Amino acid sequence: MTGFSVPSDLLYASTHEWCDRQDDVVTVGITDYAQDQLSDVVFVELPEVGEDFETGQTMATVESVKAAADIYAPVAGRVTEVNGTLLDNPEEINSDPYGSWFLKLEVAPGPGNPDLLDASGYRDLTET
Amino acid sequence: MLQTGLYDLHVALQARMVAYSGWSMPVQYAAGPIKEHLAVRKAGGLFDVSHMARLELRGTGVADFLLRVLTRSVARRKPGDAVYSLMTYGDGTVIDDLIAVRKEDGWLLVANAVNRHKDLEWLRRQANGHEVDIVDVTEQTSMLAVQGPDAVRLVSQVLRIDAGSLRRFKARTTTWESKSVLITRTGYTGEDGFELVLPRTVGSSLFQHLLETGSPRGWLPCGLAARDSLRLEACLPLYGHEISQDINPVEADLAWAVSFRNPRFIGRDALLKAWLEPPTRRLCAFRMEDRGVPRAGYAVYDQERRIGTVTSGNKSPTLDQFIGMALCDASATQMEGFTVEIRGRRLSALVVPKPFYSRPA
Repeated sequence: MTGFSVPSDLLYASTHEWCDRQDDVVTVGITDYAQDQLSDVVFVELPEVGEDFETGQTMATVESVKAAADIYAPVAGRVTEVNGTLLDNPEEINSDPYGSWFLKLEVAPGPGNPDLLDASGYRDLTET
Repeated sequence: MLQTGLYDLHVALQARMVAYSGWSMPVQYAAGPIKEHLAVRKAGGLFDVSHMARLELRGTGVADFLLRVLTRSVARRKPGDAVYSLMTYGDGTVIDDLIAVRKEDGWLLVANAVNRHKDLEWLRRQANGHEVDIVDVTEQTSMLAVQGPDAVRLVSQVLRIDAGSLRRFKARTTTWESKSVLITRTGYTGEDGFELVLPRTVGSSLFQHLLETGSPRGWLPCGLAARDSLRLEACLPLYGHEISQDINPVEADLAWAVSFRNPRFIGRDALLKAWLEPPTRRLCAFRMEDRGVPRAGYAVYDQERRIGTVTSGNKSPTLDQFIGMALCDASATQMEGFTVEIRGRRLSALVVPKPFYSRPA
């Protein structure tokens, strides 16, 4: 499968979340590939501001007409902000996956999760 | 994996193919399930339903045989009649639901893909002692569903017939590329529409012509996902969800599909008993008051008491609400609401009348 957008300035989890790290704040969403696999998104469940997550923990759920999918924390951190507009307009995840951020995590200073992929690594993952 | 006669066309139309009951079927096309669903409500949608089981029954004993295996009476049915019926075991549980079409030269049973081999085996076993030939024509034929408010116009145009004169649950034949097409005014979407059975080799060309003619007017090819959300809004049962070997027809509100005037059908005694006793479980329709997507298998509670299980649930594109059906203690039909447990949280739902959607008169 080709033709999915994979911006080069983001990092990716193998579970199809994208992360945008600016200093100690990581913004998280799901990739173009993920939204396409899910099909029409109809519902999003987001955590509360202040909740803490370890890497790999379920922190949100996105549901399409077909099924529910968990969104995992790509890095450990504390939720500082959630994107409430997605609750009323979950279809924006389909139309603009990289604009539709789910939440922001404040992370501990340091290298973060070494398993995250760069754009070419993630592209390889989705094309095999 | 079986492929329908339209497989190449689906791929060309950018369908996403999934495995379904042993068939590779389109779950959606490029537009996506919600647009496909809304197209059917507004103009029309085309579905390849060739995976459905199609069994031809011929022979002098067919009418007698069907009186034995179907819960509806076919005694007075003439060529051109179609009947929705159940097939039940001796204990009244449901083997399958199906549409039986009386043709000039016999009957055609259209049943669920998932039950094809089970149905065939059951029918062949019961046919012992009856003058009946049972032929599975599923893989030699194509079946298309043409559904939506514009269906009469489209079918009339493309097949050059007066489709509007065919009444609901009636059948007729015509031709497409010199091959015979059986047309019934039936469907599984809650809209007006037709289902067409024709030789496998010409199914794809008919679908293409219907699509070319219909697409400027808003018609879309539709996959299994839209088919499921459409039937849910119309509260049409799906085998394995609202009906199964564990749910009796009275509980599923399908007593209307059981005719006790038919004195001999298998399961009659058990169903009569179920009919005379008030059912302990009933199928309820509900819409979510809290935010959440109900799904099949989720638990239903009244306060702390578990009272049932969701059988189907999804977002209703037409109503823009989360809706579902649940098999619950019969008392639930009198309740204003209950809760559905979604990922550990009990969320409020309102019990509502069935169906969620019925087409404008």
